[in-house]
Amino acid sequence: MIRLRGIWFSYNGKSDSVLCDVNLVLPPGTVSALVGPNGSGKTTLLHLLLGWLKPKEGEIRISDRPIALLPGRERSRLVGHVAPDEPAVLDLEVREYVSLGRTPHLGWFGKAQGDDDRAVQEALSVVDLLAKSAKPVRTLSTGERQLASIARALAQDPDLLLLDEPTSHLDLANTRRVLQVMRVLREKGKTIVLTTHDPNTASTLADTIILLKRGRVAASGTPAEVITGELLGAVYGVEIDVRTIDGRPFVLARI
Amino acid sequence: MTSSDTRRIRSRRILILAGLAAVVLGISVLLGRYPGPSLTPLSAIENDALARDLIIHIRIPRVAAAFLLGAALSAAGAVFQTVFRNPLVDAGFLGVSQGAAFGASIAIVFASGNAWAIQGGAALFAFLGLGLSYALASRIRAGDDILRLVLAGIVVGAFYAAGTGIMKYVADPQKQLPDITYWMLGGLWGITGRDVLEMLPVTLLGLAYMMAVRWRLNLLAMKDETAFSMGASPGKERLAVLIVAVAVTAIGVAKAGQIAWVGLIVPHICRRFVGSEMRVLLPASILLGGIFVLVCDDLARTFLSGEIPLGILTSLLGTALFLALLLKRNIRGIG
Repeated sequence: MIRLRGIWFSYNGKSDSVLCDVNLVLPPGTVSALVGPNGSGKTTLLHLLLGWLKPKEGEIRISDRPIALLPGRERSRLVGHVAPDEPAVLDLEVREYVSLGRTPHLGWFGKAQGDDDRAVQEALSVVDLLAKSAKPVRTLSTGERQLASIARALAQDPDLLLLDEPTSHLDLANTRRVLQVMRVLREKGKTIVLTTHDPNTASTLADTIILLKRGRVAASGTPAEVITGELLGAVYGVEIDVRTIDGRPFVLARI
Repeated sequence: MTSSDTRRIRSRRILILAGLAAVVLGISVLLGRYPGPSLTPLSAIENDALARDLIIHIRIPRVAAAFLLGAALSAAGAVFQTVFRNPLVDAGFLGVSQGAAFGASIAIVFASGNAWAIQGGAALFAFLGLGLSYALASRIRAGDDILRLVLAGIVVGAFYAAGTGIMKYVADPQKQLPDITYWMLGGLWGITGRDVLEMLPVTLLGLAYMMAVRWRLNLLAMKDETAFSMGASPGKERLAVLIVAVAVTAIGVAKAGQIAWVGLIVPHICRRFVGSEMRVLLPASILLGGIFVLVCDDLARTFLSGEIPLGILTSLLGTALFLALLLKRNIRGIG
């Protein structure tokens, strides 16, 4: 269980609060989507969950332990993170890159054991990149790179997986692949929190949608509760049509 | 090919490099212009006291210094390229080389060229380069940590270069100016056993530290928050390994002057053969760097009857190799 209680946050030297009094409970084995306009605090909230940023006020507990007080190695076995565009400047091969996810599990001098190789193999298999495991990451397509980053986080085997814009820049087929992987992870009991600009992506996958507006939680609930014309219209300031397909709401912005 | 096959092939390549290093070290000790302009015969070592003294007191220290220098510069280059996520930087980055040149030129002008003052000045200002770059980066408000350090390094390097220019301008053109110029060309002609003993602790400890943490250096090439998510403390770990990389560079540059291109080109060549994973790239760079500088120094002291400055040879060979890699599109990480 992940609990956020009374979270306030502002960046150094700035008086404006990026997040104001955020209170959330995220049950294990669920997918939660942070949705909201640019600058609404989605990525900041993700970085707070990661422990990378510290709240000015309030507390975040994961499995009833305050994330801010956990040692790095222990924290990284609990929480994994995938950034939107991880650099592949000094190009590792896909398998080497995914193996980095095992870092929190390695002992002194970083010697990999059989378990580590198996975890990497399984992660590559989940994202269907086994055939490309010997290729340099830089030769992959944008979608495949994103899948490689997810595999790296999977090899880490955390309880909570944070994904920042996992489907941005992806075409329909790759978006579908990423969403399928998320589903597999949820079935494996992982808790997933992702940010997205696209309410439809959130509606397709998420159990809970958290709608942010200027650092505050404007609404939180199931897709049917949050993806409504009134709520989204008020947050984005545009007229929005909502249609229901297979019991899930989908959004069409009016031009 | 499975991951264990790849590991085996890379381990074998490192073993080959280690064997090559041993051969080059052996040949270099025997190579020289006494008693003839080629390899000293083993019989001469037994029978010729001068040849024996020459090998023990001059060639062995020089060969050891060349190998250590190359190993240190290449290891530092591989570290800099990884933690700065930039394939075009080397240990001269962050004002380190320019700082060493500035420190050495101050010592030449104001301390009458005293050898200790030159070495101390070069090492001190190399470290100051790192300190100034970090201090300045903390006050820059643009970009992420890496970009801020890059910008600060450019500013500090340019500041030191201007300072070196001033030292050249005020230097006595008969004595001091040639000394500054000669120091900046780099070379190992004055190396003694004592110099090697002074280099050994810093260089070996530095290389040992980099080897011990090399598996974590891959993380520092990633976004800071991603590295953090895998248990790293990117800011602290980056600073620690940079201090060590600058230390091994500073002690080498203090003894040998500016030896360009080694830290840039050697890691690139190694990436061609063993990949970019630091577990294998770092030992490969240490070995090939040692071989590269040793071969250049062998040429520097034997090719002509007079000494060719080592820095000129490393630059010439380095640029030729870099061009060859560029034309074959083999500079990994670019484009």
